[in-house]
Amino acid sequence: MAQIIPNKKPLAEQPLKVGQPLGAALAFLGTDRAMPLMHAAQGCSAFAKVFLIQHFHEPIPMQSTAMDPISTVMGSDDNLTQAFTNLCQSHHPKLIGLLTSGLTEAQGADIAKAVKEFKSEQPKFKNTAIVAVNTPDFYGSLENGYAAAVEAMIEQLVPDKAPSTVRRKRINLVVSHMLTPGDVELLKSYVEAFGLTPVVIPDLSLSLDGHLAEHDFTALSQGGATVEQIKTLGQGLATIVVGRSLERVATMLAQRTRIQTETFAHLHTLEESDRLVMLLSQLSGRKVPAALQRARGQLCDALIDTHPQLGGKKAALAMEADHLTAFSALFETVNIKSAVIIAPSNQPQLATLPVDKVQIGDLQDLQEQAMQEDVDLLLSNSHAVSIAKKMAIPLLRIGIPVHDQFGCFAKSFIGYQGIRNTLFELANLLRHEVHSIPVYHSPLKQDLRQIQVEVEHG
Amino acid sequence: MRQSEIKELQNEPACSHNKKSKSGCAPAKPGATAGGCCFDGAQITLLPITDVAHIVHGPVNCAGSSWDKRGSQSSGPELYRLGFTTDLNEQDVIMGRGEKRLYHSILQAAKKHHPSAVFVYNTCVPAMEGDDIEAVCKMAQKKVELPVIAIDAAGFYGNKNLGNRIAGQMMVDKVIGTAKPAPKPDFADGVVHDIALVGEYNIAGELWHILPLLDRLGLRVLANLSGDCRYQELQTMHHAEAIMLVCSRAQVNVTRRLEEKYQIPWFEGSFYGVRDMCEALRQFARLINDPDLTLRTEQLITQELAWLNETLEPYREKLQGKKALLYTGGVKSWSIVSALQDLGMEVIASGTRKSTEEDKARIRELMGDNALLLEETSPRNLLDVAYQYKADVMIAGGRNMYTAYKARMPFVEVNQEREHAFAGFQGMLTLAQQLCLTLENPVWQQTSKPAPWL
Repeated sequence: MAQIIPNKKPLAEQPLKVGQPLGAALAFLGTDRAMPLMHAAQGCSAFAKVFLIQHFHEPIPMQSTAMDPISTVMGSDDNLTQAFTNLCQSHHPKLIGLLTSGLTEAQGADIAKAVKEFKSEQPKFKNTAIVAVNTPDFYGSLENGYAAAVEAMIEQLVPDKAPSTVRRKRINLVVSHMLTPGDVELLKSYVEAFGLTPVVIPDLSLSLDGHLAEHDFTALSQGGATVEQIKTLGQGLATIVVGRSLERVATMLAQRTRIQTETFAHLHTLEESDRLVMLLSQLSGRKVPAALQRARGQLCDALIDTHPQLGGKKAALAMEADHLTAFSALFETVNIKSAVIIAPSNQPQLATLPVDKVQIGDLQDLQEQAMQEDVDLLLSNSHAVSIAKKMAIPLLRIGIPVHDQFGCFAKSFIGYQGIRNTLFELANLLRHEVHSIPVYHSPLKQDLRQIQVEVEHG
Repeated sequence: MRQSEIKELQNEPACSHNKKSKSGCAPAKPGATAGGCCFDGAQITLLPITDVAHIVHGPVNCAGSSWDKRGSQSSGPELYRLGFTTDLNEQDVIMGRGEKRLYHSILQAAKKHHPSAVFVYNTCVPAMEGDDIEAVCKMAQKKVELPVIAIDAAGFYGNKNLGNRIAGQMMVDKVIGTAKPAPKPDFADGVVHDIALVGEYNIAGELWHILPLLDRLGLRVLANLSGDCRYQELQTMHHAEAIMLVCSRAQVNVTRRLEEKYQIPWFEGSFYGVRDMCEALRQFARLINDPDLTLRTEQLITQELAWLNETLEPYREKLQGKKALLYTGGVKSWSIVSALQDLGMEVIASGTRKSTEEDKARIRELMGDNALLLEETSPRNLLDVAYQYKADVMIAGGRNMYTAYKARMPFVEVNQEREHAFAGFQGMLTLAQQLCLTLENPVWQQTSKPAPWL
């Protein structure tokens, strides 16, 4: 049990926290032909758009309801209706993901009512699904916003009844924000390796995986889970949920669909990857394919080969709770001590981390505590680069934003291959640390200028 | 190098292998070799002379696969880390242009890098072709006005040991004894005595665990053949009052010849383990025979042991009774045994590659008459011994590391590629820490379990 140390500083100096709206927008972007719509002033969506562009190196669809002084005081229902109409007319999205901001939540906007009214008044736009979710940025962080959006999609799109048909090959995967598009790709390949068909909610590996499509620019998300697939989740053989932030989603989905639902806190350890493979083997009735067996052997070899570099090292982690759970678990398996844990906001799972204490705070806290604990390694997003430089220790970039490197979104950290890659990367980062002891200059050493040559060579 | 000169080097009166038919310089068996060649031995002996340009004369393989690999550290120049080679090509070999190329190589290295000296290492192809590297070096020396020394130790002349000897011999003949040391510095606690080391390579900076202790005793290391050593220092080595031959029988010819030539007393010792570290310091005091030094040595040992025993306590508890399989060579076959025993570990077997009869006697002394001695052995056999005696950890050189890992067995590396400094009192602590770190690592348990579907 970890003790949670609340944030007592009045001022955040180097924020670690990314707000709920951004998390919700990210979740909606994993749906095909979707448009996240922020019920907010236009700056909210502009900032979020640039933030995600820099991380994914992709165009990011994002719109706002353009709140102004009048709508802020007099009510914003008109802005919503206008925004829905505009988006439907010009882009024909399959999904509008409506999310709120601090402003519209504080104002008391009733988004559910507005959506309901729009749908009844404008039946011609019935091909566009609208999912609304409350995501004030004065509560929680990216993780909560993402989970809330996934929950809203399921609550508002998946019917609450036993499905009429069952697709015996279909596996639903509901994944947390901590899975990169690269992770999702790998996870899907595991499911496919057993002859099963994965449907991923949200599927960022189809929208933000960084691929150049046949067509050019599209104003909407260029792939992802389809609305139809979300509506028919109940026809699947089973649901696999990854990430503790989605525990509530898992419970709700199990109740609605009445199908087998298995949860994984993460897939970042050998043990949890084994559990996934066993589950897929049972569900499919197939043997574990040779390729996965081999990948497991490769991971075991990497565990041993890298352990002299990793064992006994101390790390400081500053990231979302799902990531903290995953990486502290991985670190336990390779004897890296998670000496400093900083979370952007309190979450139920933090108390269960295998550490003494968790600090709710920002990167300033990371810097102070990491220096105090004299850690060997940092794990955080790109904002921690300057701290790593200052401390002259390596940084493994995890989470969002990673805006100073290419391809972080394409990396995988899960499953046998992903864990192996992570171990190699960590070992390489730490290898630069010189084990040899500091240079010692003997005070008695001869002054070379005072050595007199007696016999010329030759 | 002439066959007669090689014969002469192989006859080393100070080496106890001389007495047995199976000498340390026995020819290698085709299809069953495991060690390095003569060139390898010569190069590793001299490479840690850090301000020398070390030129390997031959096609690329000799330098190409060996440069920038050993962990010998420098407190100053980094010139020795460069992999100078004449990189002979097909045309050079066919047309016999090796000598010309070598000559210009020496000029280039001297002009561009301003070394203190240039060493030229012969290798198999030019040796077979008959390149007269001695003559080329002489000619180049006139031009560059620097010592240019030919080290004629081509790979096929013999094993690594022979290479060590040739290199040492060249230093005694051509370098040591050519300069007068700098005046002795002042020393608050008494008189400064000059000493020298032979065979301490400063791997992972180990020397820097030792030097502070020597400094406290007022023992000035004139030269170390070779680890963090400068060419000029080596020139003054003959002024040492005592020499320690560190863990390296291979260069016993150096200390023997320095004794003959300059009457310098020497001893063979080790900086590994508590007992041997103390013994090494005491030996210096004994040979120098200064009562004041003897007193200060005892005081230093008392202080260091008090600190070490307290610091090691938690590690000793964890390591108590753990079984180690030691497979290294030479002097380390017993010096590490004593280090491990000092930590409360049980050594189930020790390798005796390159070990002398004397070394073996010391192992028996430490481990008892039933000590399992492993001569040159295969990785398979090594693992079988480990299984049979239920070893907890294997301690050996880098080439066996992944053998142990395939058997899911903890491993600590003690040979030249090691990354940690195990010498001295401080090094004992590092050794204990590294042993605990690998033994306690959770990866062993995870990787020993079969996949759940099997």
